[in-house]
Amino acid sequence: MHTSTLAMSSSLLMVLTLLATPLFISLSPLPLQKSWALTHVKTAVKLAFLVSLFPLFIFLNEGAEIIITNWHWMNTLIFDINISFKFDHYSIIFTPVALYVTWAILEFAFWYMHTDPNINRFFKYLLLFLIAMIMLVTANNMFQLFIGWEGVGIMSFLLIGWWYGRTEANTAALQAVIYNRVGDVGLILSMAWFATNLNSWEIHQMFANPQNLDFTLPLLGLILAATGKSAQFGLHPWLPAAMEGPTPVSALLHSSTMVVAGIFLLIRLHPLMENNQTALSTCLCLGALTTLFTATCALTQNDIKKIIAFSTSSQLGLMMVTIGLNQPQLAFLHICTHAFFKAMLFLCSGSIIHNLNNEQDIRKMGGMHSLTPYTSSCLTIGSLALTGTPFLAGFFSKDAIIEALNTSHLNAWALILTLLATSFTAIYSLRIIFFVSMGFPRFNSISPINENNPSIINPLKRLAWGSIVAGLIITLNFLPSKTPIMSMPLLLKISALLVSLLGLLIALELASLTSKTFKSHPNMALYTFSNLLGFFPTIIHRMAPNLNLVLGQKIATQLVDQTWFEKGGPKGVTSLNLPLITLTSDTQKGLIKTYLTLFFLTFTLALFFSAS
Amino acid sequence: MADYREAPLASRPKTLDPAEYFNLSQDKRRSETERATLRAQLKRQYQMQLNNPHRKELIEDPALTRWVYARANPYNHFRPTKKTTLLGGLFGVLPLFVLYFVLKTDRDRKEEQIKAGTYDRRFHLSS
Repeated sequence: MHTSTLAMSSSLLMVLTLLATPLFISLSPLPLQKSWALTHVKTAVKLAFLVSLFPLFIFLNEGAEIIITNWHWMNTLIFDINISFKFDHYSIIFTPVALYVTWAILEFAFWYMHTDPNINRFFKYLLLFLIAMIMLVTANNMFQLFIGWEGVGIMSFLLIGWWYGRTEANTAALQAVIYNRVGDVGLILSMAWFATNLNSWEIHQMFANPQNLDFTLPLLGLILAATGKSAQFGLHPWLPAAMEGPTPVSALLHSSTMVVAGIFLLIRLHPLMENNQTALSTCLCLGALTTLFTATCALTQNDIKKIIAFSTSSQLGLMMVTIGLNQPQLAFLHICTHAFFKAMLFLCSGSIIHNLNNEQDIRKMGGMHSLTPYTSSCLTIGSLALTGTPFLAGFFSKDAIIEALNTSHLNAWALILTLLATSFTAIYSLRIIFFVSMGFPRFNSISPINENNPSIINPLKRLAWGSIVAGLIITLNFLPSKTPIMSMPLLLKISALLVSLLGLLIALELASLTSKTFKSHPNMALYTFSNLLGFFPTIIHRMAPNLNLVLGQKIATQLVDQTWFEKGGPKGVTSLNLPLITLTSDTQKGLIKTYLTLFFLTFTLALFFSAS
Repeated sequence: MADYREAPLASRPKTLDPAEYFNLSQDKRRSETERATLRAQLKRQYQMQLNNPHRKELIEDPALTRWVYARANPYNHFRPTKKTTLLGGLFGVLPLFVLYFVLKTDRDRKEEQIKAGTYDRRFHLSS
């Protein structure tokens, strides 16, 4: 067998084995050592990352992609389900990125969750999530993808509700599961369609379409699945609510890996979507709406984690727009670069929160630049990368997306919304930095604030390096699979930069207004709309079920059930029967001796006459 | 508080309403005083019970008792009037007929289409 193929398959299966080993160790009845989380789990992930670099380099050198079919699981005469891993361009790049980010997060999490008595269980959950994610990404058939899909959903539920004594955490976990379930309906619909019409769940087999079938229905199902999993508009409230979980969970699941699963699904199955204009337009418009709506909501939030969560949602909308533009490789590039700086933003916020004794409100922070310079510098680097500062990681993906958007033949509405959302990104990023790092502290100096723990510094350092160079490295080494349009007017070329700069200047102006007085009755309409998340949770979570249940209660108690049905049923029958009953029971007057005498008389007479 | 402006959908509280303080008639003042006396008596009763150190049970609220009784015994005070007949028919009887007619018409239309061969099975899985 050719050496590179052998090396690739063994390395890739070694990655999965390395990740699964700590799980099997934890199944033993002996208690785990105290630092099992650090010595076993983090080491496993680090080793897995290093091992996964090997296939990456082979792919860079030779362009080798492989499909490993391990086990024929359920095979009938006409339908096969196998355990089959596909390591192509997308999974070979994503696996090292995800493992690198997870390694940094696990090292951070050991410090963050140090006082938690169940830290080993926490790390086990994170590891299980990681395995499910890798399975999702490397799946070669829809069934395995579905296993990974559901796996990440369940682990998200368990991890969001980690502090299960807290009601908001339980509600948030339930929200995540229910919204994801609505999306899963779409995925199952698509899988059923593929099974009945294409007779296979293998991805490469689905791409051959000899009958020229109309793929609109399964594609809409897949878009619904991506809407649920990747928090697009309509099924988005679970993502900000998911910030109830610990910060490492937010950093791993709800910024880098799990929420991109929906987008990844669309990227994987993109050849089906290329010719279907309905699906592409749906993606485009949905993505544009999501990115603007969530960026608007992020502008007035006061919880640092919620701002970053809405930022994630906005970037996911941008990825959806890219898919709608028929550029899956740009969306994938954005997934990889976004993982780095978003995870870093979350880790910085986690460090700040822990240092301020669990304070998450940015109105009560300030002056962190002189107190925790490392963290606030990383926060700045991450925010710059997020807004698409030239030549940092986010620039290569974001600018390419906006250029593709500007030069495509599509509706101006999606374009305007996306550009507006890009400027909002700059505004809320500056808002975070202004409230957290600049100015003077707005909290009491009770807990000691320091950064002298290498468990914080090293992950931040690694992710900062990633945020700076990842975009450059990936763009340099991988050719784009679709030809980008290179020549466009100057204004279009620098539009992303201009729009972000505009946002930055507006935000600076607004920030300088915070120390000046303004009118006594400001118009609060837009602020209220943004702060209450566009009234979406208020209406959908509260008003609709409330109206339904109140109407149901009124029908049941006053209108129909306890009034008319009682009258039509038991009580009405009673009122009909009572006169008859009283009539019959009033006929006899209680003269027992008379009745008994008559009875014996007639009895003896009857005997007498029958005997003779 | 001269420039106090209430929230868009809220009403002005009674203590900030200028009509409360100026140009009041004698009748209104008398009725307000009576109402205030009654409220003060009720409040005094409640406060005596609340601050009684030997009280072990809950303070009985007659309004709550009446409400709970009304919620538990609708039929005993039910009388078929025009309003109750109308509402009962609207929510209990009408849906049956409406649903029957709607579903039957839809089903018949589908049958016609199937018989004529024009039924659109584009999005059906079992084609």
